[in-house]
Amino acid sequence: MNGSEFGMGTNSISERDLASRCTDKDREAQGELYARYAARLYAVCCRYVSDREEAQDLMHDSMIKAMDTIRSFTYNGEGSLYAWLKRLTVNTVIDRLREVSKMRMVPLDSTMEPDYPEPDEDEVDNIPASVMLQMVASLPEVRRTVFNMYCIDGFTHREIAQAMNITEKGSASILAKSRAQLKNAINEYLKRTGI
Amino acid sequence: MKQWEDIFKDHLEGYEIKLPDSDRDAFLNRQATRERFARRRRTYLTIAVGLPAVAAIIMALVFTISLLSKQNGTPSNDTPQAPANQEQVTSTQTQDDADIFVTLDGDDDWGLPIESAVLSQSPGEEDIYVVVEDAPQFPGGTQAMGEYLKKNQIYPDSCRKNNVQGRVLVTFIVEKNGSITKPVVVKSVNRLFDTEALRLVSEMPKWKPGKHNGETCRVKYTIPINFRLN
Repeated sequence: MNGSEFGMGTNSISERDLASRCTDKDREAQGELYARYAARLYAVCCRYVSDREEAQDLMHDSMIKAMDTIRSFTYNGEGSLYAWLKRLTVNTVIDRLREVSKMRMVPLDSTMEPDYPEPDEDEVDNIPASVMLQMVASLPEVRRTVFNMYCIDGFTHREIAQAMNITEKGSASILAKSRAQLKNAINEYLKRTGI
Repeated sequence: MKQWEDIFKDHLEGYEIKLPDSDRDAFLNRQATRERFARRRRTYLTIAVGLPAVAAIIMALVFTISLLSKQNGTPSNDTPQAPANQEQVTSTQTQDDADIFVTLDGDDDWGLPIESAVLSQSPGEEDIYVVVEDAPQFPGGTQAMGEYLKKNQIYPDSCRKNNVQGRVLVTFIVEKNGSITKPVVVKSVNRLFDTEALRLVSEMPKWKPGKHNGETCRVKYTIPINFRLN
């Protein structure tokens, strides 16, 4: 992630300056913002949306929304710009999912996943991130969304419930099911690769 | 003790999936287009809101001015000046016949009208012109008319005694045969001056009639008649 095409000046620019230059619609700064964060935000979108093209589209939408609203960003230490961008991206993704109303609620407790054994941490650590992403992406949409929000992006059940228009209890229940399904996927993967 | 979800989080949180450079260009182009359109939208909005506002202000101004000029009783339209000797030509409306007439404003000199304008067309009558190519003329010209008026003017005694002076405007029609008809006082001073002015006008010798497009025509004419004491 370097904006080599955008000159050496932008590589060393601080988050704070980058944000303020984007506020002024500085074309070079916009390019640098993309160069620094697009790949990470794209990966975020890929976690939530299995279709790569749609993920790319959502990343663009989020970036554009960021350009429009970067005025409201307040610098809060190193990394706060990415945190802000990620939050905005996740919100954009959730909005889209809700909009196309793919997020139909599955009846709760209709199926109970069998309780798979907890995978060994050391073994899990050896799984490449791309495979992890694959596992998450293969979850059904609702489960995928809840798992992403809660376990990786640090939302609370209350926030998830609000965003997805479900109850907090429902969110916890969905999370349990996604965990069970993932554990199964991990065990199968470990068995297959023989690590 | 770390759970497997935490390991997932560690691995996935900052995970990057590189996109080709063309994607950045596509994004930047999209952003530039958006900004251009946003600017255009602002421009259109400004025009859409601004133009009617300006039009409304102008209409309000025009309305106010017309109201004010009606209250003051001043004429609201100016006629062009006669270029021959820079005399002022004013136009106003009489109460009697509501016809427009032209006044040549000057004590001794008379301007030549340059344009033609049909004044009115009452049934059975021929057109009366206000401005013609070839203006009607007092025999011997305007200077001769000034001398005629001075020579024949009878200053009313009571006005002389009371030191009353003034200027009466009389409008009349110079017929095709040069005779003077329908003299009317359009700017009155007092009854004595008005009567004397009408007498002077109706007793004038026959004029040289006005011509327009090579044909003699009836022309409406206005002259000032001054009453001055030395």
